[in-house]
Amino acid sequence: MANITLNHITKIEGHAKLNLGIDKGKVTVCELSATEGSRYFEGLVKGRQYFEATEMTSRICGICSCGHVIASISAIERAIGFSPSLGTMQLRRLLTLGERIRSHATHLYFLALPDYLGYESALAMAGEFKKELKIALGMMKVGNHVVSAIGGRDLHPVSAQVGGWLKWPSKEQLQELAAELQGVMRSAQATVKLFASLKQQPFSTDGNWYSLHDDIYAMLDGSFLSPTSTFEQHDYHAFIKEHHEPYSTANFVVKDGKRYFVSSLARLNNNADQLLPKAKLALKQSGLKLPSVNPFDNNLAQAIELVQAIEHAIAICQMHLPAEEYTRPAPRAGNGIAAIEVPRGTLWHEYTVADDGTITFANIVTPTAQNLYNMQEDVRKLVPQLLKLPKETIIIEIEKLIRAYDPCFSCSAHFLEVNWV
Amino acid sequence: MGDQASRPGARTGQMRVDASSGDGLRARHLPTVYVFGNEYLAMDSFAHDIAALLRDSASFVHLASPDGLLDAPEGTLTILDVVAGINEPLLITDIAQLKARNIMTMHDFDVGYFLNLLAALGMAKDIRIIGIPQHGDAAAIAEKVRPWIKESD
Repeated sequence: MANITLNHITKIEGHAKLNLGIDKGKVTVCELSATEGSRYFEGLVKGRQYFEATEMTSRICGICSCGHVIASISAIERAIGFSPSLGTMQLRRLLTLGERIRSHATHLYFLALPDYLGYESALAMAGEFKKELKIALGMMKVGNHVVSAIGGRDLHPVSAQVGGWLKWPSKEQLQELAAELQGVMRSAQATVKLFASLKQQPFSTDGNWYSLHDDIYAMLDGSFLSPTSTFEQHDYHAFIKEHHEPYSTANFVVKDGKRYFVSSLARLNNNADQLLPKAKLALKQSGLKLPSVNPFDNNLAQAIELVQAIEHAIAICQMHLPAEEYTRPAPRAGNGIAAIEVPRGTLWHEYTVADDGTITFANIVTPTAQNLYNMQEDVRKLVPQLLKLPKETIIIEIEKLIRAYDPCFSCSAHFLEVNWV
Repeated sequence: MGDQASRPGARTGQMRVDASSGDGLRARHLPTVYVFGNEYLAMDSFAHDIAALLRDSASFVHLASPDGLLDAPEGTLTILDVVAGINEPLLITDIAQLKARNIMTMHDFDVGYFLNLLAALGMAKDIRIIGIPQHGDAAAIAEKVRPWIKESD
């Protein structure tokens, strides 16, 4: 076999390309590259006011806009020395959970599932798998409603601001959301059952996993935890190093020169004991053995997280959260770093703010940038196991592996084109 | 991005009080029309202008994303959107006419994909797309479109 070029890896987020060179059963070239144009968001926010980064960085991605909103707010607040109220933090969790529900439901049913059922796309599945797709749409709809009710709109939320919320949801709105969320709990549980029944490729990544670890299941705060070490967020420069490769517009991220992965699976590996009761039961019934280093298990992990996200969101909606008036906090010179857990893994935002509130430095590290090196090396490891298969099957299996990471290349730069070089 | 969806209107057609009838106030049911387009782009915002001129004929729901169609009641679904390359308004009732493409990324959930999906799942049985040009005489186009909107009810 000679060379493979996957020029457009489908059913992932954004655009990526894979160059593979194979000689006598050995992979000689393996270059996974983001082919999205550079985004320049870190440069765009420089010179803007501290409260503007939120709305601007939300535009990095329509799928994870809530994540970028909350990460930017958190980092800016740390930079200016502001501590948000407990009520504000609960609403930020709720917003993030709404996004997690719709993102996981979309990825699982519309991007991952067609591969396992032998369809080119979800649309092609619609005749035979109506029930499943309606389940997905139902969860997506509720996720949208959560984001819309809490964030003020279903994309690029506007209510969440540095310092608090422009508009506090009413008790009635939260009760309505709780009822809607309860209505899709069975859908999430059915999703776990479905993905637990799918046959997975046996495979293990050599990369370590990292996720936040906090007092509750990883969401908006905590230390950055792997099985061998823990780092505090403010030390991230000491352990996360970004570098460019000439073939990619996305940065590659390493920790101590080594690759790692962030994802739902990483979160479950670190925090399964913190799952809420229904999610814990779903994990047990799924048969997923943790810790897992099989990236294909990330799909099942996302399904379990659907149960967790719905359960947690219901709990927040049922809390008594007295409305708070919004006042924008005054600026102060400082540097702030915040990591939060978004659908695809840990997202980092960092800002330096001057006395007058001007942003003088920004850095954003997305989950896909952190996973890129690990995905590339996983492909290098997987391909020799597949060489006896037809070329088309090899490509499908490579794409399945990459899709299991649920990458978002447009966010990291930054889909798969495979070049058999 | 366009405006945020008006959720209550998205679920049911709004009732409007019509005081112009001779025998007092009477509630009039208006059809719901979903409007797409980026209001900040001149080439993509014309549907919002046309909707403003037809606000007495329909309850318009402005959607920033096709996900908003998930809130539409099952049955007739009427869309108002600009179509590149046409000079006169166009009524499309056969979604097979829409360019269908497979979803490649999560950003590919466009209106066409959603409509094809909703039709395939039987969630939208009667889809009507009112296509308007990107530019033109708004008042004249609104009058050409008005009967199609009335038929949507």
